[in-house]
Amino acid sequence: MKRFMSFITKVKNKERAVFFGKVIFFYLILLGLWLYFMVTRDSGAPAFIYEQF
Amino acid sequence: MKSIKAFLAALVLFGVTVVCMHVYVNTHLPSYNLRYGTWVEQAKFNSNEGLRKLMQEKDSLLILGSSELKHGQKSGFHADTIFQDADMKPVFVGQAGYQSLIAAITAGSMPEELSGKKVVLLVSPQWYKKKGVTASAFGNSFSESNFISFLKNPYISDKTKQYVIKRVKKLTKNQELMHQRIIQDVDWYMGEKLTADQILRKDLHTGLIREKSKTRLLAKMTLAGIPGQEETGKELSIDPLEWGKLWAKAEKKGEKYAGHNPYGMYDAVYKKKYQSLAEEGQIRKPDYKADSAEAKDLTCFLKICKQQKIQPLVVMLPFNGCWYDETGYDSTKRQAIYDKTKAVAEKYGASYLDLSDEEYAPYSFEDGSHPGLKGLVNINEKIYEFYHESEK
Repeated sequence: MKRFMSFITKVKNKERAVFFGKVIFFYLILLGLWLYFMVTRDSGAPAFIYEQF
Repeated sequence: MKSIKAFLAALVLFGVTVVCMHVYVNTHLPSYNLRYGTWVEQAKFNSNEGLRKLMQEKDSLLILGSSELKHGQKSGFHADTIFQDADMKPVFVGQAGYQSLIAAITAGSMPEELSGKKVVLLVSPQWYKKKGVTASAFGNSFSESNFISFLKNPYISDKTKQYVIKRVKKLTKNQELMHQRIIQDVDWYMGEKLTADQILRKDLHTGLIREKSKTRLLAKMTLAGIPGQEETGKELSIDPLEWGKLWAKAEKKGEKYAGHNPYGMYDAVYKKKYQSLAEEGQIRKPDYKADSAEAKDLTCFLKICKQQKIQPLVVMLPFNGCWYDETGYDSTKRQAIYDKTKAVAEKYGASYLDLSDEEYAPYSFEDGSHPGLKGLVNINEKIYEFYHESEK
């Protein structure tokens, strides 16, 4: 835990690392939203409960 | 300021990723193989480009239907196994809830691929509810990708398109989002001349719909382990003798697994569900009508076939006579539905396969409504004969 926290402190002190961290963060959010939109079912479609005739 | 720069950099990376995904999806649209062709999955039915690629395959035969396409798969008597290495490549489109109207839109969404070809429509008598297909069943089956392609089809008359549009609007009036999209699509593709802004929105929306349907198809295929290409290079006709073997196998299996109940279905299915219904008098009384809206939707499907020079085969699936006698839905009412379907098919010059005399055929049903064993062998053999008819 100590080593992890010291790693985070080191990263925070390096501007470039912070910048790349933000880029990755924004990228993952955009990609996540895009994939969610692409792969999920059409929100307009109703549920259909199949009943045996 | 740095956060804005980071966001812009992320946006550029995201754009590159989306382009790469687009290229991947378009270059990896699956080719025909029997497992994929007979796969019953909505993501497959909803992707117009996926279906078109399947129908570009030589020897492909579009088979439209509903739940009977899935029931009986892996039994050894359905198309998913019978036509392995055959010279006919079945392409299943349909599952529970699919009826003639969806079949009409699907058939009308592939003008280049289906023109001059044969198509099979398996008509279930249970489709003949008074109002035809229910709103929930239709909405669940609806594919905007296919619908847009249908609206763009130059071979279909405006009158036929207007009938479909009217039906679709009515069936989706309680699904606000879907209904709005449909109205928008109709305005874009059937309306007056569009402004530049409208054209841009139309192209963007249609592009997104197409991209989404292809991405979903690939994602579902990957999850289901469906191969993306032909698994074998052999192309052989089924030896006519093999049909005889299949019939004998189905008979033998029927004697063992379906010969010990009064309703001509699988014994296990009877014990699990139907026995208690019958013994406790809890059988739901069917209410199918020959003057159902379904007949008009079937007419629409056949008109679309005629306009695209498609040669349809309408297969009238039988009621399970033993079971439906028990429900009180007598043979006179059942015959009325068979007669109606036949009349519509004959009026539009469609080939018609009448299976109504199979109602009491032994070992022909899986349950109260779905064909099984010999019923499946019979249907598949007749479809194969239809496919090869003009070659004799």
